Amino acid sequence: MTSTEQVGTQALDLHRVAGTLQAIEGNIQRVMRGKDRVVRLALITLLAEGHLLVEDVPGVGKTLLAKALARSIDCSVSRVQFTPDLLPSDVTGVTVYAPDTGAFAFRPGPIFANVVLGDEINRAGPKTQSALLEAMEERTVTIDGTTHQLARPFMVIATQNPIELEGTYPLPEAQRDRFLMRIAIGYPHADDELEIVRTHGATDRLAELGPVADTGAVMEAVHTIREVRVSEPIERYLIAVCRATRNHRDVELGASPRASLALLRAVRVAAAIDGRDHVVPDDVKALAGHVLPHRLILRPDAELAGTTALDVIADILSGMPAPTE
Amino acid sequence: MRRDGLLTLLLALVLLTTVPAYDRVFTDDAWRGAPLGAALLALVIAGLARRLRLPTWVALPLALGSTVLALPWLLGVHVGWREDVVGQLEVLRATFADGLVSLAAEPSPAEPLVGLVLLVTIGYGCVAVLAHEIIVRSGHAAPGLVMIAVLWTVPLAIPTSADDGWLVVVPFLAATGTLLLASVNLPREGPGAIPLPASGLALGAAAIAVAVAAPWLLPAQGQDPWLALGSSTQPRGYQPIVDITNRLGSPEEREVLRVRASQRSYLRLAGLDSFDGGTWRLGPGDGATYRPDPGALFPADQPLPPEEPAASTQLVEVDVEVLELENIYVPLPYQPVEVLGPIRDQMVWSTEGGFLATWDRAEAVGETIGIRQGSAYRVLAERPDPSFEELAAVDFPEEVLADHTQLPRDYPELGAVAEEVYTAAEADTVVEQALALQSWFVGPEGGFTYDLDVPALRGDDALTEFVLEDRVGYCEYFATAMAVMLRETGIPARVAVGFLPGERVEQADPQAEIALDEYLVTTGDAHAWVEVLFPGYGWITFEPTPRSDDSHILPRADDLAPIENEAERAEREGADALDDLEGPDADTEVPELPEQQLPEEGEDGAAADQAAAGGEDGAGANPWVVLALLLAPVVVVLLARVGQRAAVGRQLGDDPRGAVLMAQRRLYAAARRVGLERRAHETTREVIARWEAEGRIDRGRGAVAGTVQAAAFDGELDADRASAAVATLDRMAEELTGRVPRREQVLVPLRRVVAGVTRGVERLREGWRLR
Repeated sequence: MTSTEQVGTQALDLHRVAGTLQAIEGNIQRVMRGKDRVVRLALITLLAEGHLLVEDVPGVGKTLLAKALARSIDCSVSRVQFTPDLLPSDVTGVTVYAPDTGAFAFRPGPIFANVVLGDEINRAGPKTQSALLEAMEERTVTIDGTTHQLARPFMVIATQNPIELEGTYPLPEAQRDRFLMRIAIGYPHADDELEIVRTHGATDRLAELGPVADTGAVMEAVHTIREVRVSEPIERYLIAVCRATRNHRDVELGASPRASLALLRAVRVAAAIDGRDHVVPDDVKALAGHVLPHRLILRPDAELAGTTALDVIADILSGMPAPTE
Repeated sequence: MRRDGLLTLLLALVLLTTVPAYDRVFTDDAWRGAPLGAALLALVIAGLARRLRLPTWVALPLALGSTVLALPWLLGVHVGWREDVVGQLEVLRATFADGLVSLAAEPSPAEPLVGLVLLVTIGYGCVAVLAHEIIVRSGHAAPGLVMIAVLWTVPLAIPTSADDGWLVVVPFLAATGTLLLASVNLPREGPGAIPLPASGLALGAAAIAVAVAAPWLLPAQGQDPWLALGSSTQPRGYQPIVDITNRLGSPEEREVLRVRASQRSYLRLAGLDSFDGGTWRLGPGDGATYRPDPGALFPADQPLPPEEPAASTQLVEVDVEVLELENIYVPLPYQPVEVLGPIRDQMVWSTEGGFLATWDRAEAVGETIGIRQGSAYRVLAERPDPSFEELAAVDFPEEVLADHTQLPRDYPELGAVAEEVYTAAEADTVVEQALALQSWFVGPEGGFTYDLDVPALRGDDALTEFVLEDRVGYCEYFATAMAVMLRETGIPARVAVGFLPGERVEQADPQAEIALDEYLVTTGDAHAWVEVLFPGYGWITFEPTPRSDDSHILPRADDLAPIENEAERAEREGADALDDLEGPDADTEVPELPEQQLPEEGEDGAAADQAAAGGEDGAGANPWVVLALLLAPVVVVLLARVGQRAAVGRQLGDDPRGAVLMAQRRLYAAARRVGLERRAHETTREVIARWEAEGRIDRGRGAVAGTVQAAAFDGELDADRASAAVATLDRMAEELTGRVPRREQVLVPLRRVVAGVTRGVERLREGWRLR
């Protein structure tokens, strides 16, 4: 195969992938009223093989997002409500004795799904949390000496309630690093909320939602997206943004190299969804505010002054010369 | 930024390595300070301008302008802090003119005369600034280095006797190579960079063409310039006083003439009849090119008519052998009656200024003219030798006064001083007054000191300051001052230039059949003195310069045309006092030497005469060529910018990506010009969106951002999209420029400075607050 053909094939692939992804995105947007940005970020997380941390109050559509995503790509979805007494095996699954066969059989837990919704993850004890996080990172679960592969694609959408902190075990900063992005869904716009109220109960939009792709197409997209080109100026810009968090005056602990890698994966997907075969600095600017903030630890004095990690990223971006060529 | 600093440093290093090349064309290294100082200063200022993000068109004049203003100090020709900028520039202009004359007149290696050093300094300054802009700011090392290569090649192209080629080449190549290596993968865009698309090639080609042409264009030892822009038969206004000053300034004394003379006498080049306020010049002082009246010119192969009839004279015979001197004016005793020797056919005697020159001979077309090493000739002269009484009785007709007492302006202070001197000396007649003024200058009462190391006599008040305050100078100062004071008090006077008689190395000895005394004249004997016209007796020499070595000849009331110098006189007077020996030297017999004894002039005429090849006011070729050389880089840059559009068209065919990016640069450059620059953190998409939102450009232009970014960040890009994008970008640039009112555009640089200052203050305050 000559290089010209390669380029041609690749361009064709990317074109098809963009079509698939835009179809999925449009599909979810039909049920997630006015939440285009959240849908986009969730899709990016899925394609970047990352996990999503949603910090928001209940009732804004976290479950809806997970279900719509799963339905659109025709895959399994499961939900775990984290409570203080939840055990690791409640998440991962257990080996049980089957009397009829006389053997031990593995009964997979809810984590063996393509999309796992973990509600109020901070309510579970550290042991359970870390079992989940390990599974997220390794994409395997080992029970009684047997290693089980998790499904692909695999994505955890974990939620944290930022209001009720009593009796919770907030994720340690080091663990938050495992999530590709942290997003807040936010209350819908007044018009959108009116639409939601009016249509709720009249028709089950979710039930009407049909799949527009399958897991195979998604995995193909995941592989194809790795071909999206990141030119050297972009790489340098991306790294400069990440490194700047380490020297910022308000930051105690900056973004790790894992953060740079995460941002790189995310911008590739963003470019692909836009139908581009190359990453532009705008991708970096758009995603830095979602990929980086939850990995930063601010100085106490900055936090007291009301500075948020998002402010820090915005400050860095406004001072970082963007490449134009 | 750090890399830019390193590049600037390396650039300075490269410039430094070009120094040995120029060492070849100078006799010593005193020239180095000014060019290197100018180059460094220019680099520092250009660097600062870059750091302040001033665009090239501001940085260039800033760096060049401040370097020009610093030049008088770098060269040591400044006229003091009292002079304003205009005065300093006037000094520069005059020095520049001197430089052009020296360039034409001085064979290489030349003494580091201030005019020549100025030319080199201008070259270094220009190249430093332009190379900085091209290499550091635009990131194009190659064209910048080619410019330096031109700077380096020019002196190497001038042939001299010694040749250590590789010693000169190796350091330059090493430094150049390092700079080239360091500049690989430079960031493509710098603030205010000159957009130089394919013009790197154009620039390089032009520079190489200049470099290749330079050897033929510049005068060199023993070779004619390849291209002579002026006709060589035209009389030239070459001003000999410049030559005298330069020779005196020569750091290393060299023998220029071997003279065998029947009596010691000044060897005169010319009498300078007009004063322009700074310098005495040949011919009428109307500033125009000097062309003697053809009626005043006489071929030297016949007996010469006197410039002024002289009643009492002494016959002087002088044989001159030129050791190291190239000149169109022939040094000879005044005033000559006959010239012997083969080269007299090329000479012409002018009764205006009384000089014998080797020009303005129709027959000399195509021939080499002028005296030079090996030239030999014999002059018979009738030296005016009147008595004091004769001169005291002279009447001065009006027309003589009208012709020879003109000054460009009144010098009332100098006139007053002269009158005081006359009164103190009780001098009533002209001859008494001239003698009184002469002794005021050389004697203790004036309090003058002879010193070569003084700033040039330039600026309106320089002469008055010299006489009234400083009282330190050399022959040109004294002669100029005395002649001006004489004219101011109504006495017809002028400045003569030439050589002192030199050191007597062999005495005439009739027994040993040595008929004439032999003298050696050196560069240190270059001299200027005063002549006063006494109608009927000719131009009489006066000597206002108090030379410390007593080698001058001082006329006195009892001997107005002495033949012994002050050292000998003091010796003789001492001896007289001891044993009252014989009278003055016996008149020397003038033996006739057959003409064949004179060294034959070479027939081939291969050696060229530098002096004849150029002139300050004349149509000499070389100054113009040098000017063209200096201007060439500027012209090339301009041409490159003009040719940019064509280059874009070509590029679009070959490299759509490059064309789009170049269009983007043009857009940003246009935006910067009208003060709407892209903020550093803005991406292409963002800045175009902002301009749209602000109404700076038409709406619906966002799509072009995608194309630009595809071009910039390795995206797929086909030629059609690219050419459409280039067109859109250029249209956007026009919209941006067109919608900003002209007066706003004018204010842009000002605003930028203010913004820069504000930003700096803010940053400073932030620093105080936080740390």
